[in-house]
Amino acid sequence: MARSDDEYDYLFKVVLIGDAGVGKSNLLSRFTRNEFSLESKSTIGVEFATRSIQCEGKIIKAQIWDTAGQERYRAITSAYYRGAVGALLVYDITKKDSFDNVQRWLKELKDHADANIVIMLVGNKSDLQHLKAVTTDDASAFAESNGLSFIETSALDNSNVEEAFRSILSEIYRLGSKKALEKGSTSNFAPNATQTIVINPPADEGKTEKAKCC
Amino acid sequence: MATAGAYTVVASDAGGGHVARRLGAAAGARRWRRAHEQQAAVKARWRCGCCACASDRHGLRASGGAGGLEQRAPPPLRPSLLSPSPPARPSPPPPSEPDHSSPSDTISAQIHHALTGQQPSAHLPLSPSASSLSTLSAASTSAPPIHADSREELFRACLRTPTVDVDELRRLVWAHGIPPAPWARPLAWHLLTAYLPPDRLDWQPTLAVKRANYWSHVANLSVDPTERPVTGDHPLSDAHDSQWKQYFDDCQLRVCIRRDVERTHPDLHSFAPLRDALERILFVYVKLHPTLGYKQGMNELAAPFLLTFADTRVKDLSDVEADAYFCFDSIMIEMVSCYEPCNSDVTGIARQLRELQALLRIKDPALERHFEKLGIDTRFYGLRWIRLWLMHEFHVPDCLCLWDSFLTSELRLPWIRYVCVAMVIRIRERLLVEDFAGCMKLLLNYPPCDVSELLRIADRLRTSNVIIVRTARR
Repeated sequence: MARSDDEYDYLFKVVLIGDAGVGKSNLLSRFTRNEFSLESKSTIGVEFATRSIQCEGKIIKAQIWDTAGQERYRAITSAYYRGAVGALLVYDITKKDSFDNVQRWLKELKDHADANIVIMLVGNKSDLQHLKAVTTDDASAFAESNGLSFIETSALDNSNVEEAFRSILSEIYRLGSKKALEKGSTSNFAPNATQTIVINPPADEGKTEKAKCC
Repeated sequence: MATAGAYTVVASDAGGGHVARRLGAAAGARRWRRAHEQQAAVKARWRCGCCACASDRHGLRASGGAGGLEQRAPPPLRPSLLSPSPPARPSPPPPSEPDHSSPSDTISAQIHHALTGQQPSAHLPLSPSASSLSTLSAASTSAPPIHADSREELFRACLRTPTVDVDELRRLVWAHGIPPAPWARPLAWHLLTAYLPPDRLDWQPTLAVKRANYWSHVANLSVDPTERPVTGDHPLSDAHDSQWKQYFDDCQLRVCIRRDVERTHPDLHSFAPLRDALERILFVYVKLHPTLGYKQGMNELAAPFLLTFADTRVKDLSDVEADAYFCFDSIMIEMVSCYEPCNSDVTGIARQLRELQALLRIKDPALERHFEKLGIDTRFYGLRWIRLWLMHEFHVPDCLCLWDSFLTSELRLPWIRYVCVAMVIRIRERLLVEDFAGCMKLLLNYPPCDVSELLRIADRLRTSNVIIVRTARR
């Protein structure tokens, strides 16, 4: 049954995307369990974790989907993106290639995710300043020109990880509030919740009365 | 947890009975880990004295027999049940004994141990399962376990014949698992993947040719224009046949492979010395299968062969590497489809996942409806399970026991799907009361379990028209 700690006001699905090896899984484990491992296995398919945070007096439950960096097959990835209201697009600040591929990931989101998904560009591994291959200015300018928010993080030394997730969740909440989200809908993803708002229910849901942020 | 009587099974046996036995998997895992950590510390020998995977594993009957499940151990071995040949199988000395002169030669050592029994056998008393709780895995408790030595004898008998009856080997592995002796699993896997031909006289020549073949690939597939410049070629060339272009592409490929190799069994110290071998195996495979390219997950399918083959009395790893390459190549024939691009639901991994969903719908309609209501899709959990043959779901010794059963089938994916469905059904009581997030967490962090019980459930699902129809709460 739904546990008491599963009570929340809003449920947001956020996906972590980006090239293989940029540290998506460690960002997830740092945010949801405050753990970091140098010995983590590569993600195959998807990993999943949740964490609830407080935002403006409301409890927001984040459902975070950590996707495999190499998984590009539409028949598979469409399921991961479905219903996502936020995306952390992660690159490795020490790997120029992973930053160059950000454009491809944006296209991936454009093709498969909801058009109004909130995207944040995340430069991970900021602890490796001496190996930095992508300058903060370049990344920031790119983010600005593409209408994305931007932050540099380190899952290893836990800098800015909390901020990155809180920031995107707040942004989703604010955008949703602006659109006068309807409260009380139920989610396809959380049938036990009575206080859930689904921002973008699955397209094939076919039900009415679903609140949408956009 | 699913407990006795927790769910009801409607069954009409379509094929019958089932001989089952279990092993002390958890204890085996601990022993295995300890053995391997000591091994890493010593770094002098490549074999743990008693096979780490000494866990005395499941036993599953292949087919036939009279309904119902028997618990734990099968009756004392009745060879007539296992083999079409007479019970006391004649065991004439082979016409030509393999050359045992080179102790560093893995397969020679394996053959020697297999046939002479001089390798001190790791004798593990079988510990019948105390956790076979569900109806599906239930069985009688009366039959005494088969002694590990008896199993080893059966294996020896099977392997001693001039031409090994691979079907019988399959039946033996299926019914009794692979004996814990260190030579047994490598040799069985060589034969089950058809890397070694059935005729024992062909073993040595085959190994010699294939190993040489592998190392010539390693040498020929790597180009280095810095050492041997080609006239007219230059580092900025974009020409299709430019060695420089190939060189840079290969460098990129190696980086890609290395990233996953470093993340393969990162917690297993004994795997560290095998990383270079794994990288070469994947590189050669990708170079020989350029249209497929490197895909994440291949590393997990190649690693078990290295782990298993290196776990013997070997001084030279080069043979282990070549053997692992060909066995990996053999299972990839079927697995390629799961790694190929799939942009429709009817091909590749997407098709496997649809079939998994369909099987779950047939075997446990209530659970499948629950998943459907929550929006849980086999793409979320089944993809990793199938692509990696469950390598991320269990401890390595348990995975190797699962792989024993996978390799006994010529077509592995249909059987793996049954095991996946068994995994879901085994925790159905917990799943049925969870919401989306709870189910996802359970499925993606599968709770530890006795893998032999899983195999029993899967076998029961496969060999009979079992359908889980309702839930009986405690």
